[in-house]
Amino acid sequence: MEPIDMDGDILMQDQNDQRLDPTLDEDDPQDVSSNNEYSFNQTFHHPSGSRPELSFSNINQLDQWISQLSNCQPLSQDNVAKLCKMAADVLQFEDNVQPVHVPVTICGDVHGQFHDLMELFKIGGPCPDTNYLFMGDYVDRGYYSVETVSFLVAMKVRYPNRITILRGNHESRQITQVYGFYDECLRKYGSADVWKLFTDLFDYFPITALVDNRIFCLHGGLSPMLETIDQVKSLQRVQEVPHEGPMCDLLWSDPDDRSGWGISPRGAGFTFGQDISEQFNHTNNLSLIARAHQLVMEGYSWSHSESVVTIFSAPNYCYRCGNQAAIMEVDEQHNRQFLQYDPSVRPGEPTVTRKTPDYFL
Amino acid sequence: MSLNFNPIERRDKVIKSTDFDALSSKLSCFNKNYFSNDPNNDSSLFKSYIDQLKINLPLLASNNSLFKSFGNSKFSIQRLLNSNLNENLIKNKFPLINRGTYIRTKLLDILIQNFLISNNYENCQIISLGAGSDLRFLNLIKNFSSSSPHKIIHNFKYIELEFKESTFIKSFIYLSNPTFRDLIFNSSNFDSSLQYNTNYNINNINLSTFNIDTIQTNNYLLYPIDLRDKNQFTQFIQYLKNSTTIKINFNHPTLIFSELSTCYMSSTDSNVLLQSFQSAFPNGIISLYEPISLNDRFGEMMSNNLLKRKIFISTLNDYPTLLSQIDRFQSQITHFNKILSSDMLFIYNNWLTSNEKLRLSRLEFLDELEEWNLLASHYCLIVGTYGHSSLINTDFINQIQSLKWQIIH
Repeated sequence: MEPIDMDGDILMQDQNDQRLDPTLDEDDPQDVSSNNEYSFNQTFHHPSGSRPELSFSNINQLDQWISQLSNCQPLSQDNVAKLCKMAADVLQFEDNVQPVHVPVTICGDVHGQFHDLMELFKIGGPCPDTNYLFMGDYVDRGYYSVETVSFLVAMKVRYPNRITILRGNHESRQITQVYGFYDECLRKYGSADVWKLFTDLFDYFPITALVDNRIFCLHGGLSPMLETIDQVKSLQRVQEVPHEGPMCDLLWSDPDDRSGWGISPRGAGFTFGQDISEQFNHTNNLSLIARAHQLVMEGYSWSHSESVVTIFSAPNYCYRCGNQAAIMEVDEQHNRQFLQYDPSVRPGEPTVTRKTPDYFL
Repeated sequence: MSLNFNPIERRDKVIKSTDFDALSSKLSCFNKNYFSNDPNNDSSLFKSYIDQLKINLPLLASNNSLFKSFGNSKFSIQRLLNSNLNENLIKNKFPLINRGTYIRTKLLDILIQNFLISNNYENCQIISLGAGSDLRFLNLIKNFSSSSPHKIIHNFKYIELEFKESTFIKSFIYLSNPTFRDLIFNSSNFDSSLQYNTNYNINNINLSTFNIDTIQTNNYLLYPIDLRDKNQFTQFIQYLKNSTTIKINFNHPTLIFSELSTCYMSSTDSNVLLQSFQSAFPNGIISLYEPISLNDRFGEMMSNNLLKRKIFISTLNDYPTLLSQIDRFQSQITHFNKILSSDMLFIYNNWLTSNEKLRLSRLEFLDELEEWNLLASHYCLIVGTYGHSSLINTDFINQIQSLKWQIIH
């Protein structure tokens, strides 16, 4: 047996020992070299019509941030502030039901497991070569919420048409104060400012996405107050996740074996049965509801006769659950393929510290 | 400078330190009001205990070299206290840990209450294996004296067995605190209480000279023992036989329970120990609360994570399921009349009233639902009754059978 040195124990702390290969390096846009300060916003016109395009200097800055973040190095507070401002300019013009096109790779909860997110991009292919749709819960529980959400937001701003980031129930002021993001921000920045910047930004995140009018994607599930996707479009989403009501339900509900609507044991949202899912898909001419929110041991799980799929992308969730993670690729022909993966091997992760997940002892 | 410890000493230090984990989780539960108005878990008793521990333990430990039992240096105790009882760290406990700690406490409380009520609090005894900092005895007395101030309890005995270091700490805290002392020695509910000042010179309790690790009254015994050591068990039984104070009647119905303690022994040791208890107390109930691996990936990860803390739980994999635990009781321990078993998730779902569950859900928002289901299904309660069924009050069997169980054998 190895010697125990209890007094040598150190409390849990974040370690950044490992430098990951920057697999996410992008082909630099050819025009960066010109270092043109002027923006493209007249030339490149986004379908939504309102989103400002990136200037070259912004692209440079973003590429530098992305490179830094892909090494699991958090941005400075000033840079987080800049990033969040840029992101708000992008996200506020997205729809409640953000349109997305195939091919796209759909991902579930990440929860601050930064190294596993890097693994995800290795498995699914680097962004922006691969289009990604993330269905929320970037923060809380894992040790690297700050790096994870900073990275995804930076990618979103850098490649707005290549990556979609929806809001999960953890992208909220209230939940992050219980489940770790708030404390992590305090620990890493010495104040709650960065937490405030991000949670203010979360209010702008789109709450659902629609892949070629066939796959409805969202974090939680359906709401008894929403029969059609058009009704989702008319919600006022820019606010803290409410305790009840349709927006809350979209981020909190779960499919259930019991038919009809049920009280959610989570205390927010509802449970919905196969009848509800089938009716919703029929009404809205959908082939599938893709959602995240629930830990599933194989990383994905079908329910309601394949009218609903749950995707969970945090392997060995909370460094405790032993689950696989998965992502779902949808190709141009709308064929679906699940890619499963295990936790990334990462020497230097806080495994040797005394702070192991809590058990009852 | 660290001292040299052999592997067994090192392992034991980790086991002894798990009591602080348990205290830490319980403190968090109290802070979050899980036990509000729970007569079996009095918050003022608990808070007094924690305060006494925080104040006295560092000095007590350093004066008596007690720290060596918990770590390598004088700072070990302070470190344990800081990492487990620091209010700022406590507030970050996840809701599922609070909920689990609450259920874990309640399920044994329910079992004990059923045992006591079915015996009318008389002519019966409870033996807590690895009692640690458990305050159940104090709670029982306090609760009883406030609900039935004039009722006299006849022949009720409560025995707590624990490593010497822990009984030493507990003795100090119990004897140096007037509230605890009164509950232990001066309860009006006992037919004849032992006056503490005859045996324990409380005027002289101070940190530097304190050396008591045993408390004995007519009704209560806190006794230091390494439960793995057969000789010490024999000495313990002899001690009971010779005692003119606690006067155990070995034939009285006896509830023997372990709340996450015998699981740290080897499976062989724990089975031998439980057999020895069966021989010594021929009419009883053995109840264990233990983790089970279910042979799944969560269980495997649990085993790995605990090993990183050098905690090895033998029964986790030796008896990975409810069925294998039942089989263990049948074949490795012995003749049970009835064996009942449930995992903690089942108990949460079936033993708590819907009002109680509603109360818990309002205390804290528990988002970790799937994780809760996993974690809670990896802990189990197993209860076996043995001996003459007329002596093991049939009421008890009826009562606990009326609770829902996953498996009744």
